[in-house]
Amino acid sequence: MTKIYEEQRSPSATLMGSEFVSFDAEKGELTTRFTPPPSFASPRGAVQGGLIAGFLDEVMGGALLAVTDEQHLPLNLDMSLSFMRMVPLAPIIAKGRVVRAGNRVAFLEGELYDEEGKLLARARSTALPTPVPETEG
Amino acid sequence: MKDNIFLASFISPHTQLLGSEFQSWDPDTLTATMRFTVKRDVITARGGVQGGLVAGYLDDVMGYAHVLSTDGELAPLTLELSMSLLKPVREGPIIGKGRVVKAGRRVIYLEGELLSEDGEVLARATSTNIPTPRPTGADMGTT
Repeated sequence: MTKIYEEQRSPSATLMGSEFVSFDAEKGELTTRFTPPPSFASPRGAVQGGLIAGFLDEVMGGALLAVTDEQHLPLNLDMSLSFMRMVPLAPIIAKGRVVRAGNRVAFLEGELYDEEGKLLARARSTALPTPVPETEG
Repeated sequence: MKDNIFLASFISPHTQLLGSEFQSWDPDTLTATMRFTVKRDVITARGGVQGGLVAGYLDDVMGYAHVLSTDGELAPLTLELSMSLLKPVREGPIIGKGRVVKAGRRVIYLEGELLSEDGEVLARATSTNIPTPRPTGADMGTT
């Protein structure tokens, strides 16, 4: 089951380079590690606020994939983000959870932490569960 | 039209990634218009920009609006951003519009939209920010 997180399924996943850490089936929670690429830096020298959502989307999507036995990925309708601290261009820990996955709508949430466990950012998403798209050849 | 020379210093890594290009500034409506060239790097297997990364374009154009409204003195540090993803954002050119809704001394409210070249709304966002001195890029490369 962990295999799929290690496969680079799309250009965006390759860009962000998600690394599988663990999956807690009881909580429906996926943990991954990211090292933000230098191209994500804003003039502040940290990850640009909006682009932080990329990591959160990636880990929340992975959580839905894991919870649905690799059947569904979320098509996001709405996403809400809070930015508590600057996200450095250094390894970060991401956690994504499925709050509820119905037939028509999935509610997801996620957080990013630095390596000391400090909360950097948080997201909530309302999404449509859709079949996993074919991987491009 | 303001003097936009300071925009040259906006070239930062994320600007390259997003393919950002400043187009115009309307001081009456406090609206900045930009053009982005969506690159293949940010596309998912579905063929559109990864949902989360759409916030990168919105944050960029909303930030420009605030920077321009302060003559380049301040830039927003985003605390909260909410977005709705109405249509897939495809590879290629898109238009971004960012507007200052309210700029107080301590809190800045911004909104933004991404549109196709035909004017179809692809995504929209609102954000809550605090004003900070505009970063000059002196901190860059300190990974």
